[in-house]
Amino acid sequence: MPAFTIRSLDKVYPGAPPVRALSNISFSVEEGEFIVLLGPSGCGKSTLLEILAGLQLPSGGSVLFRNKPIDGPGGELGVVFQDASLYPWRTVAANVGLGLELRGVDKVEARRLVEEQLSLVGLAGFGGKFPHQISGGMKQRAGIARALVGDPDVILMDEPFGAVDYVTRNKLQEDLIRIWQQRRKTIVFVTHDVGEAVFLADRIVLLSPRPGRIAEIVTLDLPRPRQRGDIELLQREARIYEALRALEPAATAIMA
Amino acid sequence: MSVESIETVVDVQTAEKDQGTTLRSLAAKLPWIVIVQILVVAAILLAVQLAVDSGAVKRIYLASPTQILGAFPQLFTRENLLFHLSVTLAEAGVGVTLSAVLGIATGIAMGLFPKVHRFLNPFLIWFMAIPKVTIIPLLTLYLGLGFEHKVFIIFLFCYFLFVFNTIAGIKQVQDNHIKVARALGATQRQIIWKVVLPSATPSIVAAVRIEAATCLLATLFAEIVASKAGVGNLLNKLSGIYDTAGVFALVILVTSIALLIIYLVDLLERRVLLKWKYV
Repeated sequence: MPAFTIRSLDKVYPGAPPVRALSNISFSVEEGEFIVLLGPSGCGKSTLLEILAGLQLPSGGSVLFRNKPIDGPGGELGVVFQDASLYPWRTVAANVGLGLELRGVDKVEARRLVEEQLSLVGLAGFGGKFPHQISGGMKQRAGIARALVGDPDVILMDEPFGAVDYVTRNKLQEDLIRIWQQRRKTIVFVTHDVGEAVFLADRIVLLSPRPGRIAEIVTLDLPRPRQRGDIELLQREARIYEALRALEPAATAIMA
Repeated sequence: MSVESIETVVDVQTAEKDQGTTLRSLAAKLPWIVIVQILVVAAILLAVQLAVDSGAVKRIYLASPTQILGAFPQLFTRENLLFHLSVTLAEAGVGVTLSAVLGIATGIAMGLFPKVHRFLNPFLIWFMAIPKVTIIPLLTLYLGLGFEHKVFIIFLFCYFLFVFNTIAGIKQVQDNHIKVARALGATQRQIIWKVVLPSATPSIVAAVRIEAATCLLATLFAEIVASKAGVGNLLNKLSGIYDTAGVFALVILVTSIALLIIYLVDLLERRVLLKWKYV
């Protein structure tokens, strides 16, 4: 049974004229799979992720989570946002424990789970700090810990490493792969960074912009752990760049 | 004089060490500023003392520092200052608390429900625009000269800022903060308590800061206009009998209380309400 089944999905924002964000999207996400939604800005990848999270509703077609239609955010999925969106008035530990608190998990148990999660993402000992006291990379780790603490089987990530520096991003990617392999999660990951997509994904769903459609689905059957700079990885990367370029002929003409 | 200045210099330097490197360059200048400040105050006090003692200025207009100090014991013994002070503080305390509770509640209702906002907003603006002083005779007629009269006037002074700052605070809540809570499965009620209200707290605390001083002003204003007791009433009495030293003593006392209140609110903000901002 797939985790997500998406059939002929459309998303239109009403207005004059209405904006078609997604058009005729169909694919499925298998349990335990690492799927990357890749595309230029305006291809609706974040919208698609929010529909999977139940934060937005589709205008047409169907989206099933384990064969049931998604009718709102349920809290059984972990969602990681572009900026960590931590609450500045809560400590890191209280931020990470938010979901447990909302579900009314016993306080002692919640504290134990939060501590465990903080060490898993490399934030042991930082639970008592407030968000403004830690670095951007640490905030992202806290955002990931907040999504993981309830031990969801499925994690949705919206450009989670977009705002951190290159070295930190590489480190976070490696840590994410480690966590994914340890815990056998299903991950749907949105990015516009081809290198990141190739390093992380089992399959890449390549989206074209305005309206967002599936251009191609690329399967990356490369062995793990993957090495950055590996020749095969770079070849795949080059092919995806080519496919991306083909999506926007007008833009390429201007660049050339 | 000189001993005082040296102590101040030492204090400033120790404080400076804790502030870190950014202010260190100022460290050399700051003590001199403090010394000059003290000198200015001392010079004014001395000038007043000499002017009054020599008879150059009549005692009705000005009291010397020693006379003002001398007036304090009398205030406590003859004028029953503690009683008046307790009346004033009780009025101010009840008035500002009532304003805060009702103001924040109104603000929450208006901030969360657009229809409530649309309905109440014109009334609030209208009430807020009334120059308070013009309706005091009416309020005296309806409520008498006592406690209720003062509390109502303080309410008129303080209520609106609580309402509008609460609304402004609620509008400041970030969409992505709400999205996080929704993604984690929060109910509408949980979103209000765990996201919206904490987001509004800095704005509400800003109102508390301002009103802490305003409520004392409003109380004294009301007491001076019409009252049977309170520091404002006492002030009327003393100025009526040309006890200028006593009036100055009361002004100094009231100023000190206002400073103390501001300090306490500051402490409350740093240690409790917005502790996260100060770590």
